[in-house]
Amino acid sequence: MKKEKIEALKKIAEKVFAALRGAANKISRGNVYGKLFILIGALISVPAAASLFLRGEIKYAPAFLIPAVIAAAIGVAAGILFKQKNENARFWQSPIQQGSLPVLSAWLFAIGIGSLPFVIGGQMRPLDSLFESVSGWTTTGLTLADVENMPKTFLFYRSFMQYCGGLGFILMVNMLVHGKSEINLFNAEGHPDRIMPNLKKTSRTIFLLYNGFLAAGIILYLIFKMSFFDALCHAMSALSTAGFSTRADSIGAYNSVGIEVVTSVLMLVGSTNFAVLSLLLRGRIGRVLKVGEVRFMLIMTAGFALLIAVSMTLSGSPFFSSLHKAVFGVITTFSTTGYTLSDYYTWQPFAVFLLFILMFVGGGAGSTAGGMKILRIHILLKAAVGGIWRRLSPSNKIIHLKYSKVQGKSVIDADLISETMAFAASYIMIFIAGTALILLFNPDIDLFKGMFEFASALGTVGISNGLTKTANAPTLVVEMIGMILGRLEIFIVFVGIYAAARRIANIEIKPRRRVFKK
Amino acid sequence: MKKFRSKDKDDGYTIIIGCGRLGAGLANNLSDDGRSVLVVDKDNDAFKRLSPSFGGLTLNGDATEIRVLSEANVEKASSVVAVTNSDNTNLLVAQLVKDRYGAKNVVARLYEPERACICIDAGIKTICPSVLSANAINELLN
Repeated sequence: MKKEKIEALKKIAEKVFAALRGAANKISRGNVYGKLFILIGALISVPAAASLFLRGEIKYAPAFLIPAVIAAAIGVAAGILFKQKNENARFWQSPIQQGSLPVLSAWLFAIGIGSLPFVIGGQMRPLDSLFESVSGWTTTGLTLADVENMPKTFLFYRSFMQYCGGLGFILMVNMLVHGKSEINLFNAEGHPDRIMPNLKKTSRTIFLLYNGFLAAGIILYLIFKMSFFDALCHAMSALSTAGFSTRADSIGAYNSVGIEVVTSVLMLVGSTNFAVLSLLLRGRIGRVLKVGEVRFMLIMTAGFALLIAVSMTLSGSPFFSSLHKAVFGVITTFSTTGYTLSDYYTWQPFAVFLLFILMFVGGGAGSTAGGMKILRIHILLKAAVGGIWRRLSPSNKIIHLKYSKVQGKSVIDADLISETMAFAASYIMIFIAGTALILLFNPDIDLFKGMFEFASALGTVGISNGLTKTANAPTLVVEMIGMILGRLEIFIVFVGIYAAARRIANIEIKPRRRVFKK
Repeated sequence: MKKFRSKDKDDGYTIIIGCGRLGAGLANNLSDDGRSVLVVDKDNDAFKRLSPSFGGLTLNGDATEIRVLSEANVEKASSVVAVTNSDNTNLLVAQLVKDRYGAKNVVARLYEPERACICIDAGIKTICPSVLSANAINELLN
């Protein structure tokens, strides 16, 4: 009797397993949209599992399970109904054009679905929850939430969004399944590094590094007497350089130097690119210090922190306490995290202006940070110095500009400069347009306040001067667009919209042809 | 699960030296199969031949230099393929890799079949386009 039962159970288990495997096979052979949407659904269901461990909060689980099921259903439908198209058909398109649409749609989908839990859970109004979702996935950290009165499940969800947004969806999908076209997506999402000679291994290495640092961060926080829940949330948000906190006063609420140091280290790690981190872990510190980006980052941190500290000392506060504040402020700003010890906007104008500049610089290329990225600034400065040098030298002198990457020295050629210039110019134009819109919708604020807040959104920094908390609907929309553009590095959004328009309406922008006549 | 594991275990690490038509084509095929590949070429523009879906690494440098070979982690490679357009380079690199790093599987392309005698004792496998074509044409004629 017992044996029969066991065998029957075994058979059922085998059947279920086979069905699951069949479905998994179908999905992994299906198109990439399906995989991405299912992944997003799975991620959103995680807080529901977390609610089991939080006392009396299981009633919030459905708020996450419903959107998760919706996402998974859309994913399965998309994966099975639309089969992978023949890749050669679009072979002539540039790689970024092939990759842009899936990346953009995955991010927009995550933002849309990710706002539902706040609405279903009755925590926020629809527009506010959309804002919170954008701010979460793009690792910005601007918030409209009333953190002190929010259930813990939702606090966990906010930090978890940032943790996943820091890694990127394509990277996670790459780790699980591998297809031919995935490399286009990988580049499109903004991961310039190849650590391993194989894409899947690269994704796995990055994932392991990231989780390793998370574990280390949690342990360090626990040593400095943070509660486990706070440690988990803060470690997730600091590592993804995002900046949602479980306290209204952010890190300043703990008033503990140990916690501030741990946070600074995690933010620095988050804003360093993964190739450098893997070198560092292999103990090749000499080589890490030779990388131009790392040098630039260290010099910049030291220089800006000193300047701010000196300026504060001149106006009467003791040097060491202002240096301490300044170092934290500089790291939290250029790493685009946005944790605060106090309200930075109340600092003197000189210091606030320096922080404002740092928001544009941002973190390392291929890290979780936003902004224009240190590498680009580094290249632009070198090009600028080279330009001056060229004018001082004899006209036939050949000047070779170089910068050092993890892989070794690399030449700064005209292509690289024009690419970098194009990005910088678009970044600044978007900044100008966004600021103008914010000033238009808020006639009663001063100019710098608007500039500061939009730079914070575009750089996915998240330091606020209070404008966001009381903002009207159009301002929120402008900031949301800024955050999405900032996280996906601008071009991909425009190319994605173009690709979508071509798909839907068959619109084609033909490059203007120049006819040369004799 | 088994399927995943077996794939991960024996995927090896192939280094291809020379990113010409043959090298790039080979690299693309291996990368599409999900294997680990690294391509070395001294001309940076040669990497444009790789398909956009190539997921491996590229290294710009002269593979006859020890510095470049050790940067490519030759000691970890399961196979090394030398397919530059110069027989001498291919032979030199193949011998270097075999003697100095003890790579298991070394393949060199030789335009001149008579040079293959150098490789037989050293345990280097050779491929000769002219011999292959001659055989193929023979078969077509019969």
